[in-house]
Amino acid sequence: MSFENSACAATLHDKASDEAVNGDRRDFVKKLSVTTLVLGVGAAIVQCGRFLQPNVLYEPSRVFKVGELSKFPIGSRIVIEGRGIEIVRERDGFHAISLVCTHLGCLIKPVENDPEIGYLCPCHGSTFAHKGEVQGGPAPKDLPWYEMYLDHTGTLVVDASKVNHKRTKLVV
Amino acid sequence: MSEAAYSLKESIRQLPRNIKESVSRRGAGTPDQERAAAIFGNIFLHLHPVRVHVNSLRLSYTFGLGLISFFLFLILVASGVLLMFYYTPSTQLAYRNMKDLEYVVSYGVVLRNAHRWSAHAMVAFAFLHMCRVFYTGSYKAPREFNWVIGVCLLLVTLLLSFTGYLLPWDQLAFWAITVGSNIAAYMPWIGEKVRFLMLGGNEVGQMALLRFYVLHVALLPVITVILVAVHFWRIRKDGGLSRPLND
Amino acid sequence: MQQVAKREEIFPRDPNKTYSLMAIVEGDSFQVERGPDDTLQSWPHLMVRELLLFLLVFIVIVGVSLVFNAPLEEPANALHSTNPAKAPWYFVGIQELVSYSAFLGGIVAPAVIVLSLLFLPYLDRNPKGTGVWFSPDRKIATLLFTVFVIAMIILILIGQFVRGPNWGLYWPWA
Repeated sequence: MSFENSACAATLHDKASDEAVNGDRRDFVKKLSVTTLVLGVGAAIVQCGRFLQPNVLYEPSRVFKVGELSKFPIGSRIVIEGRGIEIVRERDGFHAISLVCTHLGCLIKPVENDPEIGYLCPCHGSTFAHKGEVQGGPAPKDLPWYEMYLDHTGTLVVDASKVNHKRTKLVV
Repeated sequence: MSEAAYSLKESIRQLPRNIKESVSRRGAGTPDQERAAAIFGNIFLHLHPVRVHVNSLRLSYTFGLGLISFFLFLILVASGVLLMFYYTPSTQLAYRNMKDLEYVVSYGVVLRNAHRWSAHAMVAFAFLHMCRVFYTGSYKAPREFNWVIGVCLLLVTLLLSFTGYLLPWDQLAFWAITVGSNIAAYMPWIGEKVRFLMLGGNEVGQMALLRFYVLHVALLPVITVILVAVHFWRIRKDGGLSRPLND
Repeated sequence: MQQVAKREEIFPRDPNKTYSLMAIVEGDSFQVERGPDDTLQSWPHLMVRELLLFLLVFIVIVGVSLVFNAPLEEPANALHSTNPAKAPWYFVGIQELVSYSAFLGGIVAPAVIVLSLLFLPYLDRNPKGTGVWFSPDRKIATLLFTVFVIAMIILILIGQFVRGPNWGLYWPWA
C-alpha cells in the first residue's frame, strides 16, 4: 500500500508533462499510420496499373519491310496499306511519312496533283503540306517521318517506332 | 401457446401464411403501421422514406426525371444481361454476333434496339434530371453531397455508354473510339499512358475490345449500382426531396 | 376541461420548465415534429406512381424498339476511316470543340465543366429559392446554367447535323 501511495505522488507530479508526451506519441502514431496507409494504397494502385499494362502486344510489328527498291520509282508516292505510312521517293532520296493524323488519329488521305496540299484528314479537315507540315485545320503537330534503311538483301525497311526528327532522307 | 400449435398438421395448415409473413416481415398492425412496414421492412424499398412530403409527389415539380433514368438503367441491365448470352468480345466474332442478333436470334433485334435506345435515353434523362435539380436549387445544403454523387453518376453513365459503343465492332464504333481515345491522349503528361492503358495497346484492337467489354458489363455497372443506392439513401437522409423553405 | 385534466395527469406542469405537453392527439401513427397534413405514406401513394411511371417508360422503350432499328454499319476496318468520323452524340459537342483546339476543347473544357459541377453546391450556398423552379432569388445562377445548357445543345446540334464530310459545314439536307 505504501509503495502505491508514493508512486501516486510521483505520477501526480509529472502528470502535465506525461500528457504532453502522450499527446506527442499519439500524434506520431497517427501520422505514421496515415503515411503507411497512403503509401500502401498508393503502391497498390500503381501495381494495379502495372498489371493492366500489357507486356506483350499482339499487334503488327513496328519494324517492317515495304518491298524492293524497284517498286518505288523516282517521283512516286506509294501508300503502304495497313501500316498507316506512305513511302515518297523524290530525286534526292526516300522518306516514310506517317498517315495517322496528329489531331485525333484518323487515317489521312494523300491529295493528288496539288502544289500546296499534300495530305487531307477526313475527320476534322486538317491539311498538311507535302513534307508533312500543318497547313490548316486543328492538327497540332506536323506529320512525323519514320526511320528507314536498306537491309542486307536490298529491301527497304521502315522502323515506325523511331521518329526521324531531323527529317533526313534516305539516299540510295 | 400449447404444443399443438407447433404440430406438423398445424404447420402445414398455416404454411402459405407463414411463408408469406416470413418473406414480407409484416405482422398484424394498424393500417398505417402495415403501410410503413411495407417500406422499411423491404431491403429495396427502405432506401425510400416511409412517408413523403406532398411536394415530392407533384409531377410538375420533378417530372420523374431521376426515376426515369433509374428505370432506364433497370431496362438496360435486363436487356444487357440477355444480350450477353449471344455476344463474344472478339474482333472476329463481335460483328457476326450483331448480325446473328438481327437475323437469327428470336427477339434479338428488339433487345438490341431496346438496349441502344435506352442507353441514349438514359444519358439524356440523367442530364435533364441534373437540369431539374439545378433549376430548383435542390443542391443547396444539406443536399450538397448528393449533388456530387449525382455528377459522378452522370459521368459513369457517359462512360457506360462510351464503352458500350465499341462492342458492335462496326465502323461507327471503331472510329468513334479511335477519336475518343485520342482526345484522352491530349491530357498533359499522362495522356499517352492513359490511352495505352485504356486500349491495352497502341491501337484499337482485340485488347481494347476486351477491356471495354469488361468495363461495360462488370466494373461500371457495379459502380453505378453502388452510387445509385447511396444517391437514393441520401435523398431520405437529407430530408426527402427539396421543397420551398417556408413549406 | 377533461382533456386539460388528463394532460396535467400525464405530464404535470413544472414552473421551472419552458415546455409542456400541449395536446393529446388520437391517431394510429407517430407524429413527431411534423405538421398534421403535409406528408403521405410512401406505400401506396408514392409506390403506385413509381410503378405507373415504370410501366410508361417500359412501354415507350419497347414501342420505339419495335419501330426503329439501332444503327449498324460495316464491320470495323482500320484501313478506311469513315468520313466524317463522329463520336457518340453526347460527345459530339466536345468533338466540335476539339476541332477548334484539341487540348482546350478536349481536355480543358470538359475538366472545367466537371470541376465546376462538382464544386457548385459548395460555392453557391445561399438557401434562398430552394425548391422553386426558376426562383427569382437565383436569377444569375439560372442564367449562367441556361447559357451552359444552350451552348452544349448548340454544339451537339452543330456536330451532329451540320458537320459533313471532312468536318466541313453542310446543311442537314445537303
